[in-house]
Amino acid sequence: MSRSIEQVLEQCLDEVTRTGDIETALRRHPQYAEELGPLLEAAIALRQHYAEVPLPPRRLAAGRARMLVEAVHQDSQDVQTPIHRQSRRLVLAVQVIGVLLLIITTLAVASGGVVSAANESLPSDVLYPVKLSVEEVQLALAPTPGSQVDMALRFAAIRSAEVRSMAQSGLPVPDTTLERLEWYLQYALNRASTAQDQADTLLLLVAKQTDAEMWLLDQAEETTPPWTRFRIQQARQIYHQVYDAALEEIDR
Amino acid sequence: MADENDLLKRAQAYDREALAELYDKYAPLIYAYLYRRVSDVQVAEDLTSDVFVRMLRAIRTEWFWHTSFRAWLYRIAHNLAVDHFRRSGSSKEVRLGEYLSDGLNDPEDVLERKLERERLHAAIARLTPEQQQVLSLRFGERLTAREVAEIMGKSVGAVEALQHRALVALRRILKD
Repeated sequence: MSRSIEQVLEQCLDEVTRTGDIETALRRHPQYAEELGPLLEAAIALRQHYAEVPLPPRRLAAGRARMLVEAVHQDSQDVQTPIHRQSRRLVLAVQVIGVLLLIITTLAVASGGVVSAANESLPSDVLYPVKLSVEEVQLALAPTPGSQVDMALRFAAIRSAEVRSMAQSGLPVPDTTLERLEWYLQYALNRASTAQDQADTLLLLVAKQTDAEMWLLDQAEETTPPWTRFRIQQARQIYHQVYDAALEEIDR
Repeated sequence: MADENDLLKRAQAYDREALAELYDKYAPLIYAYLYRRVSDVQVAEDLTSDVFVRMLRAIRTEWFWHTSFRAWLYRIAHNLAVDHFRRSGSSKEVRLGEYLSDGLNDPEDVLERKLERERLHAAIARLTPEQQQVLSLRFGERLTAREVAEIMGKSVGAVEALQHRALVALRRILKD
């Protein structure tokens, strides 16, 4: 099988970084020697350049102390967990019921017009919070692990479409959109991996859906302006991590 | 030294000893990576501290570190570097060598090395952020293509292609 120049370069880099001998590595691939020689020299220069890292001014001690203080703080917050968690659940339930009533009222008054319009909204639009509330209620009412996974993946795909749409238009994508995307995917992964006899089927669904979304994001990246491209890359990274995690869970 | 899986489990429970051990192991790596990206010791140290606070807040809720804790830390560091560039409005900052010691006595050698370093640094700064990242991870952190692929959320083939494009571009810039 013929190897691409990228693969040959990778093989030569591995060899040169071990031995430091460019000539021997190039002799194995005479057809690419002319092109690869300067690239390997650049790689060696880069290694030397990157090796020069000055010591941090505070020797990283302040960061260590800050992290340990934060750990104490986090720990003390979580000590209250059982009561805290129950009260949070109660608040969440009340919120869900409230939102549900709001939506029912909205539906009755506006005959579905507002919710329907909200479905098309983007994070910068006035109706966007309505769209999110409807999603939250739908997810809270999903009865089975299968429907929960399916719904969370669908909502994640909506977030992904929003990221693509805004980034491709050169608009800033809010952090919260990516956080919600991540949350839905983690929720789907969590529900799938704890679904007992359905776990493998649902994890496979997670893997398939995330793979499909990664393809869409790859396509979108090509037509996205440079200043918003990192958002597409971040969304892709989130999907990629969930994809890997789903496959790893299946392997277990 | 404790097994890493054990350390991570204890870190999830906010065990201070485990957290300190993880910090001591990974903070120098993350600092070096961030310094190579931002070229400023102060900013790199501050961002390193942010990485570990963010790690702490997410270690109980996120799943991603289960695949590779180190890769997860690099991803957090990368995202913070991107945020930093966005806030400062530039990814091209070139501030060179003020803390570096050459260990050479001959002033001409020192000057020559400094100029060479500046030339390479300026050339790297003209690459795309993604090209800079792949070069930094491959030749700074000395990670394999597979490890870089994991951190960047790409396939190994895509990383190899990106690395090739980055080296070709760097070579072209240096020749200009």
